[in-house]
Amino acid sequence: MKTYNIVLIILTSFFLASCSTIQELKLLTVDEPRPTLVVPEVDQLDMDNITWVIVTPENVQEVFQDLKDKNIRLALFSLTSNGYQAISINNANIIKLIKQQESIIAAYEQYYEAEE
Amino acid sequence: MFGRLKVYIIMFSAFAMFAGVAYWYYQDSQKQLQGYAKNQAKLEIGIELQRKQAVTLLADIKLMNTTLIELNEDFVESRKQVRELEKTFTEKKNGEARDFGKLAEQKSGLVEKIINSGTANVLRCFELLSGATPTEKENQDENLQHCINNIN
Repeated sequence: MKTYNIVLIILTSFFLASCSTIQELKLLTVDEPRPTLVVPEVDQLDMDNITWVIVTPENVQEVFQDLKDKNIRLALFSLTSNGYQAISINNANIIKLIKQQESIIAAYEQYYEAEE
Repeated sequence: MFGRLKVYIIMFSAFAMFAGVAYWYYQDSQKQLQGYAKNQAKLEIGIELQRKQAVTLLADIKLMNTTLIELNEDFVESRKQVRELEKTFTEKKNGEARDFGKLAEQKSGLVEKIINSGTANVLRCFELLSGATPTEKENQDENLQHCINNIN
């Protein structure tokens, strides 16, 4: 009889244990948007003027006299016509590069800002 | 009397067993039906999400193509400026060859004026590209348009 009671108690406890439930754990994830990167503007250029003087055999004396009159050192930093062409085209290439870079930045802005 | 009770007990047990099996079958089939319904709902949500993703993806591809086309047009335009300058040094407007050195030798005053004006434009172009505000006069200047348009 005693053994029967023990078995009954054990079985009852098993049945009762099966009634217990575990509440499902729910995880909520919230996507936080990336903070906007605010970059500073580039420094604005303030270029100094450059004056070109074309020196030919005909005006070389006149050019040097003019320098003397203006009390400017008698040394000219010269370029041939080919050298001048090269420097002009180099400048144009630099401008081209800046414009292309600006276009790329604008394209990135257009693409990624449209996404937002 | 006792024999009859035994029959009843057996019948009751059998009935209870059948009822138990039926109940279990009902519960199980309901559970399965719920599972199918949940799966169906999940599938529908999945299909809807996929459809939305496909629409977004198509819009992104369209925008990417537009952006690339615009970018290529900008690149072509920027290369055109360099080619035009190269041409100015080597070719007259009527297509004849130009010797820039010879021109400078013959018309030094005129060439000096032109190159000084050109240099001023180039330097101003650098300033405009760095963000300087163009003046009213510069807004009308054809030679500076390619530097101003790029800012906008």
